Amino acid sequence: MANQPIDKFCADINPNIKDALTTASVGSTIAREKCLEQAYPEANKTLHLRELANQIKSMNLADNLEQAVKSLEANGIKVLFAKDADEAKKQILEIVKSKNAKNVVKVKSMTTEEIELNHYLEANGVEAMETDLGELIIQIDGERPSHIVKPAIHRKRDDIAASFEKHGIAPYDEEPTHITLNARKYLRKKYFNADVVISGANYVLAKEGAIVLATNEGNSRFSMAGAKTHIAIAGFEKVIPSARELSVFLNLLGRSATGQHSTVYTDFVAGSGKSKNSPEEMYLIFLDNGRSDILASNFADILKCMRCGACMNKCPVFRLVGGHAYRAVYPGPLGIVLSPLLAGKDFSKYADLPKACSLCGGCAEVCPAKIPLPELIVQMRDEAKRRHCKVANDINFKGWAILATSPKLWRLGVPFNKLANFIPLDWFKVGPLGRWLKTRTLPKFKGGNFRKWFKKNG
Amino acid sequence: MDKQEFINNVRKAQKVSKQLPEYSCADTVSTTATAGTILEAFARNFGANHGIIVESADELVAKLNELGCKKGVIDEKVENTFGLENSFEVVRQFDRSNPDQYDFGVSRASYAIAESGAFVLKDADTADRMTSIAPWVHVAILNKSDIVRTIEEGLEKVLTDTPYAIFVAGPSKTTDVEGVLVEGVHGPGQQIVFLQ
Amino acid sequence: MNPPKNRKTGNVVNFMATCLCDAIFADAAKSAVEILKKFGCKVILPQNQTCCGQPAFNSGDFASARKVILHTIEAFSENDYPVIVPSGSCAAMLFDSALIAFKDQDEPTKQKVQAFAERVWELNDYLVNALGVEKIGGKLNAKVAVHQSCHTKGTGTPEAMIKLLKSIEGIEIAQFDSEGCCGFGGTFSVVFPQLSSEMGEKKVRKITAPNPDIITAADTSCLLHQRGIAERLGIKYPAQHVCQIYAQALRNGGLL
Repeated sequence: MANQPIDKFCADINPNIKDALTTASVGSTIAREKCLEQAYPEANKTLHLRELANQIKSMNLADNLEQAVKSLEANGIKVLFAKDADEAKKQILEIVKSKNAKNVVKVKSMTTEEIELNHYLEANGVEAMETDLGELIIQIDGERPSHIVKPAIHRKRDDIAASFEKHGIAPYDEEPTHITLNARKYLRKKYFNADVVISGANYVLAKEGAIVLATNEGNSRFSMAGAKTHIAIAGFEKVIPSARELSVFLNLLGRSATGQHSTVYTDFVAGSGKSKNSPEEMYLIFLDNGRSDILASNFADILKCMRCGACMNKCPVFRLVGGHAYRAVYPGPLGIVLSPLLAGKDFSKYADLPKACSLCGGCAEVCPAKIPLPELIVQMRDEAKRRHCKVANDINFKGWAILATSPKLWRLGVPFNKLANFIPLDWFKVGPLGRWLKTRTLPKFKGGNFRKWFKKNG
Repeated sequence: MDKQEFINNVRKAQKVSKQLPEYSCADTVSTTATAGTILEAFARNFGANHGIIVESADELVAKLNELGCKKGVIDEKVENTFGLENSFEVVRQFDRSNPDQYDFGVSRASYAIAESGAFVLKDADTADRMTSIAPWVHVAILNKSDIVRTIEEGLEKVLTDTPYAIFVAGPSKTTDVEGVLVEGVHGPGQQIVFLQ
Repeated sequence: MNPPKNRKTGNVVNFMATCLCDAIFADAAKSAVEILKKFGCKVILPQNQTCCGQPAFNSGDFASARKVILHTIEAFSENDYPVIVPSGSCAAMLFDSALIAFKDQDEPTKQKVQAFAERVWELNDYLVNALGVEKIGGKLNAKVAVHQSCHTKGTGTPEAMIKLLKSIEGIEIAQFDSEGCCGFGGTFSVVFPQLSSEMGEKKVRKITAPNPDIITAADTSCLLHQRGIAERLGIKYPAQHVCQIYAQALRNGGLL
């Protein structure tokens, strides 16, 4: 019955994984709400903060970007510009090779997932080790993240332990504390052997010429303390005016993502370090990869996203299928708008994504930047039609429009639906009616009864 | 792609361009997080993340003993070592070739933020980053008078004199394995602030 | 949802039955009209009305949606009175979403759509926030589980419904974990039947958990979907549009 890939994924997914996804997502949603209520009990204060975030992100990106480049360069940071994923990967590899680096450690970065950096580096003889525990878990198994904040949310302790054993990280031990300690031990060696650290950036500060990283595990600071060269990569939309604006963003980020008042660590990196055990050189690559096209389109608002994951935690569809169902780097409400757009000329491969949504509006309620996601999602459906994308089970409404704009036909025709009360509905196995009837009954049709009643009693 | 072309692409694409909105600390500060005196707020928020606060050298020694510490590294920019060398084996340089030998590290916190329960480490005030990162136990020496109340105030001075600063709000942690909270990941598993 | 500020009010109103009530839920529409009249309204039913255009709009067929919306505006153009709708989603379509379908159209058309938006109200919202109704009156002994449909978020409807239900002697509002969409989502229900049914089953189990005598909503679409699922699962699902509850309570009290 399920022809839509995401619907089929829902039917096929292991029920234990589905359960894990739902539990984790619901937990994060509740944690977010509790945390914000506790921090800002005053009526509408959280709403006002979200509005400020939206307004700051609506500023002139080009001006802020230009200022950012000046400030970054004044801090001795080498700034590069990558038009697309290929250019970014080449730039990164070139820097890595120029340092004769064999070992790279990575701080979790969805942007590097987007450009598929790890595979590229590995294919070119460079080991790129993920240091975030969740990312490490999926990297060793060649998996993609199933959530933008909690990449291993779909994994259970026993299969993680088995994986660690299989890949020589540690002997089998499924206790979460031990898994973590084993990862700690394993990665220590990597940190101290690393020549290069690659990170993303949660925010880029135009005034101070710095990047900001928000983490809990300590892997960002350890990676930077271990390696001599730091390469950061960020979409240009990450730029905000200054550190002052972080009082808006940092107050929303941790709370929206995991229900924490703040992440344990917030790194502010304005160039190579002055202390021992800090990078001697820093690069920042600004990435376009389709973002300027999105900025020019009706979907520019999606660039305000700060990658907190609150939308997917809230999404009733995401809760049942998880990130892998979306076949793209960014899943959930964020992804069904962003992923087809980032795919550029491959848009139609992802045209089904925006349909996997009941338009419940939950995402819009939790987005810290107040992105009007349901509006964007519906417009993506319009966009798919404009691009003539074929999507399974798509319903043609031209006939409906004719009926609904022909009132005489309507008044005449609707009462006839009562005939359907005499048709055995289990004849309908296919099409929309068939798909409804598989799991739902239909009530009796009473076409025309109301209008007749109104004539007499109105 | 060259800088000008990249920035021009962004400029051309922009349809909406708004001014920086006006707002003040009152709009972003959490009244619940900053309730009470600065010290009370800091202690409460840092403690909520399982951070440990000690206020005397004796208390510190007792705590370090309790945590099983034998050997530690004290950052070179820490001037007063509080006689720790009498109770533990202490060195002043972090040796990268044998990083697991230290049970604890001690460094100077430049300031702290009560609202977030976080202290701040800067390159300007620490000789070596590893001292605060690698050992299981870390002690940050913090002057009470260096605690500011709000995040906004904390952000005003974060990068004024240093190319690197980090806010530390407690021991490192993760919930990546089935959502179970585990403390002590890549950073310290025990985070102490020694209030002066 | 963002309803326009300063919408039209008054005691003479147009009624939009909605296609679902035209086709299936005649009783809900009848009760809605009875309630409007009971609270002092003269109700007009323009004959050329059909549908709000939501099915086409949600599918992304903006062209078809525009045709239907313009037809609807035309059908209600004989006068300038408010347009009351016994459905949260249809009302939201006309006072909020419609403007999205017309984003690229000419100014005069956009203004026409905006002007119409300012006449549209969901019924409960209208009763409380336009007519100033404080209580329904009458009585009905029933434990009522209230489903707040997704399209009433951000409007006056949810609060209005609870206020009016609580004003009926004998009604107890059932407590249950109400978070989450029921999975109807219009065409979503038949384009993603697996997801829709799983979401629906979750909702049905949660909403029937307190053993309510009546399950109600301001949207017959959600009830249609949930009841359909419940019946297949063999779970009792006594559904009524909220106006039917009001009408029954008033009749019990000899007030209707």
